[in-house]
Amino acid sequence: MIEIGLGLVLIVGVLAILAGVGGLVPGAAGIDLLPLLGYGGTAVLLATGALLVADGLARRAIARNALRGHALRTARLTMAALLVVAGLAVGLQLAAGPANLVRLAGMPFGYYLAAQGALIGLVILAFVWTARQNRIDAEERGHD
Amino acid sequence: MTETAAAHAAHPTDAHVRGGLAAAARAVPVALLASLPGLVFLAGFDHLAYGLGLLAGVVLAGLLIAPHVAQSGAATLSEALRKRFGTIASIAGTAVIVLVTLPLLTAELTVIGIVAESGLGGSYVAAVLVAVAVSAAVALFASERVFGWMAIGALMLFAASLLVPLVLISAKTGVLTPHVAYGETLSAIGVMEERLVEGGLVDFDTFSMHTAPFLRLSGLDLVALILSLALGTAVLPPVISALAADGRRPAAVRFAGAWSAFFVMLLLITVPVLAAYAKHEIYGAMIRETPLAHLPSWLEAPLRAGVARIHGTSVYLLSAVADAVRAGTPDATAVSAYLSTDATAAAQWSTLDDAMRETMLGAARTLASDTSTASAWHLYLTAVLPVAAAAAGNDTAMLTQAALVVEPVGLMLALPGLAGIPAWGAGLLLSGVLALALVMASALLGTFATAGSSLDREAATRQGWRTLAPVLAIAAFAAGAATIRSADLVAIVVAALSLAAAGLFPVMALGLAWKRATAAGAVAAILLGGGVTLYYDVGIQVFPAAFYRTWAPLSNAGEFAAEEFTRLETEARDAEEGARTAAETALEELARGTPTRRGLANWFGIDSASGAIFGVPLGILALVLVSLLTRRPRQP
Repeated sequence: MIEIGLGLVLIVGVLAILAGVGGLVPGAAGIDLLPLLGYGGTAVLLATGALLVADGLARRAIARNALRGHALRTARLTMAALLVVAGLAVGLQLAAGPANLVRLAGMPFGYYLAAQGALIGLVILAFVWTARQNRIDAEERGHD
Repeated sequence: MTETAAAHAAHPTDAHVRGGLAAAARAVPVALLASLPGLVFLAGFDHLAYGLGLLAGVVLAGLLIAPHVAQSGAATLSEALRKRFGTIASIAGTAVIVLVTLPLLTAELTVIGIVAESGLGGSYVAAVLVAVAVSAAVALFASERVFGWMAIGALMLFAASLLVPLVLISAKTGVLTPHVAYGETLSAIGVMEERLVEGGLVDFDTFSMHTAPFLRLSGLDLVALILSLALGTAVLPPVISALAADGRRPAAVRFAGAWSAFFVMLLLITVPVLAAYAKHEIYGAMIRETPLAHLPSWLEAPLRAGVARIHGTSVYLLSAVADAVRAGTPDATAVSAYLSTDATAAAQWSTLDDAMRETMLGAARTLASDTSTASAWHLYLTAVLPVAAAAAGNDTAMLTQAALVVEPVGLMLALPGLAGIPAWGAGLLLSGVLALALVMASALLGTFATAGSSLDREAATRQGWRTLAPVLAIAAFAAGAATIRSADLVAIVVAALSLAAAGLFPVMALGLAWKRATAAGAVAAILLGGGVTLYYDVGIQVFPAAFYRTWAPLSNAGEFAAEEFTRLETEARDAEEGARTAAETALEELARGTPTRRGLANWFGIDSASGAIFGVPLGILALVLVSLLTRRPRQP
């Protein structure tokens, strides 16, 4: 369950950065990381930490509850897939401003993602989701 | 994973691909699909959100909702609700489905009427009536198998009506693989945009740089729009029935769902390419200084159908006013009353000032008195446009971005002309739109043909009138509503999808999957989610001033707009009888907003059509809280 540990380290790190900015604790050796990461970057770090912890907890729950394994694995896959859908459909678009600074074959990258990239990504996700969920269901029938 | 387990897993087969195609044809309301190129043409990047929301919705329908419906042994949403939560939840769900289907069907019929009138030369009302009769017959009598093949054929035709003009237009610039090569076109559009802005040819209320984000929609608007479209499409009854039909197993439903997402994606990635090449052509005509007296021929079809305007006027409006003159209306005020049954003409008429109305009326009198020689198109070019251009300060009388407004669905009508296809080919090209819209209308009506017990066909036949009555009632109501020829189809479809999302998504996504969910929780989720979203849309559209007074602290209105509201309110209260109506109208309009200016009546600036952003979280909350407070359901 190493990801729980890693996730907690990330979360504590982010909290320390925020605490330093809030003036609750003196910054270690006067280093302030917030200007480097920005609020967006800090939020991404925090979300990564939370995801790692959630994944670790889910793995632990699945290992300990053999009887509810199918439901738990389905729930974990669904949540992960919904996160990816949200990221592709909404997240990428919100980041279009900076992404547009990169040009790809004459096309601003942020525009390309919204016009084609994210759509193709959604279809790939649909097939991966299908394969994974069908495998979970098939293994459940195998156990019966 | 073991070998036996792998052998149990379903593998993709032809049947999955076919199921995916048949579902893809019913996944997106055609009123919105046919408007997509026009939407992206209008606002560039910001309107790409429509395609993203729709595709995310198709993925969720196929992978999240339809497998649960199939698992419960049901073929429709209402049936799945009844099996899991009983009759009351099913009735509440069906009520939401009716409220969603009616506007969607009305929008489909309106598009059919507009396209048939423009492409085939028929009359609008006749086309609507024929379409509603055909779709009711198909919904009642065609088997799922036959209907599936019809849907696939229509989808192919529709793809052709996007691809043929695209290839023809892009070939003009020497490009034969537009999907991969249109980066150059986007760069060229950027250059043209700069020239239009420098030449003072643009109206910044309607103009936005094609690839720049967040000019027409804020980040919050974008999130609300994508959420409404995605979660609404995910629970759209036709696509769920198509995927869960024929007693498919959940594994097969998922494959069909993934394939339908693939086919919808192919259509959706074509849309921005088409929009870009069309924009390249249209901006090209503006930069080449095309005089209004010699309008390009591709503008004729949309101007005649009333889905494009030049300086606020269209040939459609001229013909409508001429009809009013023939009916004996003496003056402009009487014309306003006459046009009130035609939403498109009434909306355009209401934006004209008194002088322009007189000009229009004069031209209409000529047209009405002399049908043999005077043509509406000729009179429009010679008698209406010069006056309209002069009144708008367009002294050179050239076609500019500021002069031209193309409604979203109007670009579809302009495509044959832009591609250089002659008039007889236009009807052929637009038949794809007609066919797919007919399939969608049939599928929407089919929801009610199977609303009872779809799996028991014999019982359904015995109770023939029980199937007939709801289908015919809904068809008649939608046909009646479609004769109004509503001008804003996109808002209608988005609002309907938003209501579907808020009323049905919480209970279909979480309710069916979560064992602890109870019938009371499901009913609460449907009523609260659907109710709040319905209130938000109807409240803002019908009672905007009252909505703003109630919710002023939540509105994002600026200080200046709020002061203006108070001033108009005082004016409306103290004014004489005649001036009071004018002040009250201005008050309502200020609160409701216009297509280019957001009104005061809102919560946090969210568009009235995207109320699902409030309804869905409230629905989920109601489902969880009420379920936990009521007794645990018996395990089957």
